Amino acid sequence: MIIEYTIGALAVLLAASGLSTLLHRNARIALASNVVFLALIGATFAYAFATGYYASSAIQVSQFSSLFGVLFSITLIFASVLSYAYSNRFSALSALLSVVAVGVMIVDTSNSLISLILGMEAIAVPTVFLIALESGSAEPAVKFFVMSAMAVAAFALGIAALMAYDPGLSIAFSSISAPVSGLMLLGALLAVAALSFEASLFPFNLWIPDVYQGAKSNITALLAGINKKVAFVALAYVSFVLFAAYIPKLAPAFLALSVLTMFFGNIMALVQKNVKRMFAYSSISQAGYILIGFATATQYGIGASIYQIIAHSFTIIGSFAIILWLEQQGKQSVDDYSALSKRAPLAAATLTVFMLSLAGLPPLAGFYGKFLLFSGAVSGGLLSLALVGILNSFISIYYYGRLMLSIYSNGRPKLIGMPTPITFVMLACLVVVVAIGLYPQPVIAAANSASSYLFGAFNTPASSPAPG
Amino acid sequence: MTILISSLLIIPLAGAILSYLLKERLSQAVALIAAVLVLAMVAGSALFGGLPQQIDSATAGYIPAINVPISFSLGGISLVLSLMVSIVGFAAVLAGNHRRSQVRQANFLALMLEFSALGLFMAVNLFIFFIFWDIGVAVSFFMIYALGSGDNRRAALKFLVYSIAASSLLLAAMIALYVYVPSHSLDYSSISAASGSLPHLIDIGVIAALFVAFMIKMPVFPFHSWMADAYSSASTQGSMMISGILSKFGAYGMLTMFMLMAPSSTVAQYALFIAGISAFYAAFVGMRQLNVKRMAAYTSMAELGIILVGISSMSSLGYAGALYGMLAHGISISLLFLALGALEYMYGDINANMLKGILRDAAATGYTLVVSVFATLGLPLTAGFIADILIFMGATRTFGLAGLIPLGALILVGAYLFVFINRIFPSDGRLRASQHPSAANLIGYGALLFATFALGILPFVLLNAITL
Repeated sequence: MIIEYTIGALAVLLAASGLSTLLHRNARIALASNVVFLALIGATFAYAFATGYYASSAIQVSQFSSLFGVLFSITLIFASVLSYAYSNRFSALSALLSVVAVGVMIVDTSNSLISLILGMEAIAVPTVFLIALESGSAEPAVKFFVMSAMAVAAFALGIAALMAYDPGLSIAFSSISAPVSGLMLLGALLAVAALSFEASLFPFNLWIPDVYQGAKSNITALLAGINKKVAFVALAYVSFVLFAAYIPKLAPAFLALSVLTMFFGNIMALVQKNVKRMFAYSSISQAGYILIGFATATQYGIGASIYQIIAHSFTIIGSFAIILWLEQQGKQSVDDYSALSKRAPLAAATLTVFMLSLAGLPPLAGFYGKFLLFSGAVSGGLLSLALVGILNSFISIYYYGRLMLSIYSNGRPKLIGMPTPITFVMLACLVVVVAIGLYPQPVIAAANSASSYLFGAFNTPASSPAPG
Repeated sequence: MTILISSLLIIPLAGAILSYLLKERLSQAVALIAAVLVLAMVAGSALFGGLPQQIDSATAGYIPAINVPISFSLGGISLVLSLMVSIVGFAAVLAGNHRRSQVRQANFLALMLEFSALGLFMAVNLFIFFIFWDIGVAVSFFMIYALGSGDNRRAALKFLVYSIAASSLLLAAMIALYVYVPSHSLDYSSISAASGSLPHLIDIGVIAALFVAFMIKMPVFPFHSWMADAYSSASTQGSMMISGILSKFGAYGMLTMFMLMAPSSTVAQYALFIAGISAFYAAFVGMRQLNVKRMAAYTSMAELGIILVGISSMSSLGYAGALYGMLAHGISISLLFLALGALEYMYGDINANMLKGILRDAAATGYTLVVSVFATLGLPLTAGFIADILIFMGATRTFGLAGLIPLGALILVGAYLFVFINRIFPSDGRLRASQHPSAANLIGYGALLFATFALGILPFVLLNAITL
């Protein structure tokens, strides 16, 4: 009992202190309060995860939600620190970020569809303002607003079909007992499509590159590192808990989405000249990889997806930290990055490590994600999906390689020093990516235990023995 | 005794990191000490270890979640190849950097490649093999690009794309084995035990994927087009280590694959056919190269074709010959590239028509070049001779007289190298060196010459170890 209350109280305090920054307007206090409360929430979730705590009342604390609680607390701290680096109106950003953070926690621990929608709105609405505040034009914010409004509408329509069976709209509602009907299937597909907007799955992701490029990079880091991952958490709840009975029908849809998203992201990334846009497409392709585990629909496969979500969050936030720093000096294209290694060897090496991790080279965090996802697909009988994934990770090396060539070329670029907050986020992400890569066991085990909760607690029929 | 294996991995790694962090002069000293220590340990175990199949082995839990232990073994094949790596690594660190440019980076990369090669050759688990394989790829990419010259941008990207293609195939095969080997273990022993009982299609697919991956890496026709560019635009150190050590990743992988998976005799016949084509192709293309480094690259490719002949014979004689061939080729080709690099340093751009008279103007380097050509050809008294004899004895036993056909390629290579030597012998050239090789450079020649003759005159020192 105490853990749910602690988390709830901390979330309220986080929102309150965040909103109070609008009164005192002190950026340092705002940052400190965000970081402290998020750290406390993260520590509580970590304690809940380590002790195997389980509760399902107003909110749901399980292996799954507490693992993601830890992840999101850390990544939200990074996002706050990043925003602190260059902003002269951080107090406003901090208030919005604290609301986003509360929304993330609501989605993560939601026990009913109402709180899920509420949480998603609490994330989307402040994000619109964050994008608008931090970019020169209103266009990306408007685009994001329209897209998320459409997504919420579709989601509400999708779950309306459930009202007839469970007016409480509980997520734990076992749809296995409900008859498999065409209407319910339509609802399930609508809900998946709605979440695909935020999760950046093709063909619902056409807005992504413009918004990612248009927003300032600290917000892009938030979008790619947190908002998108929250969408995957919601997708996991909706498809593997709520519509668990429909998994055999949903898995082919995930398969198609995954293949299309991987190819779309990677092929578009090949032709980009703007680094930020390239990373936007690269992050789309990574969403396609994450979805491989969903298409596999086994406990092992979902564990692989969870691992990949964790690994990718840190990699992409770290990358956008470096991109933010260069963006502030007007450096955006691949050519602008030339000779980065001559003036900023640490940043150059770090970005290289992130790209090698994204490309899936061992011994870095991204490699184990791909190994787990592809081996999950093969053991789930989806050999061709694994081959498509491997083909795609091969394609990706070309654009990462091109940027690496630029970074390590000769020249003497003019660069201003890196602010401490950015250095902190960059190095912290580097340490995580390398540490997970060198010793992935704890993270893989945590991801497996989270996914076994998702499958075990609701006794879905789709689980199958994992190899190893 | 695991202290031997641990220090063989830790010393190059620590040396690499230290030599990157320290100032240039200290860096060179540290790198040299690390290389000498490794050489002393490997040579010591080869001479005094009594040459059993296993001198030392190390096993420890690593990632139990996916059933990957850390497991290494030193002895037999891995000892022979580690000896080659430590000799070439020592010579490259000592002598490979004529201009003393970018000393810290060069030493870092050289020792990292040594680290990856030692790890790869000592690994007895395919997963660990793969990790070291990709470390080698990333390191070589920077060796070609960051330290190279000329058209290094294109060469490096080409190398990266080809190498990642090979890695992807290797990953695909590894995942298939991981899922289909009943114990979900990638230990060589488990793979070998399960190789007969794999589903037919998986067995064929895995062998094909591994075969092509290793063909790319060796390289073997038609996947060789990265090679000449990479060898000729890398730094001297880079081309010594890439041609001497990295190409053995492929050859060693091929040997291991044949020994573990026991492919059918049809596969062996295809392999012989491909090896023959590759050797002849390389001989004909090499003949027409004016750029001496490119000529050396194709000579090396022809030699690797001959090594593949030994492997495809699937007999213990052929295997022993291939292994001895890898040892001999590693030493002779790095000697050749060292001499060519020194000539380039002394005379600027070099091509075959310009080298007239180097024997008078630069006696040490000139005679070393001539001897290294003899060693590459496998003339008696050099290590290559022993290898060729064993390979063709094995090949005739398995394939009859057809096994002797690739010998024709070797004769062709001999013919054009003979023409090349005739061209540089006359003493009436007007070459005047602008630089002179350092003492370190001469010691590098001495070490490699000593190794090639010692292993050619006293082959039984090592041959006892490779009773395969």
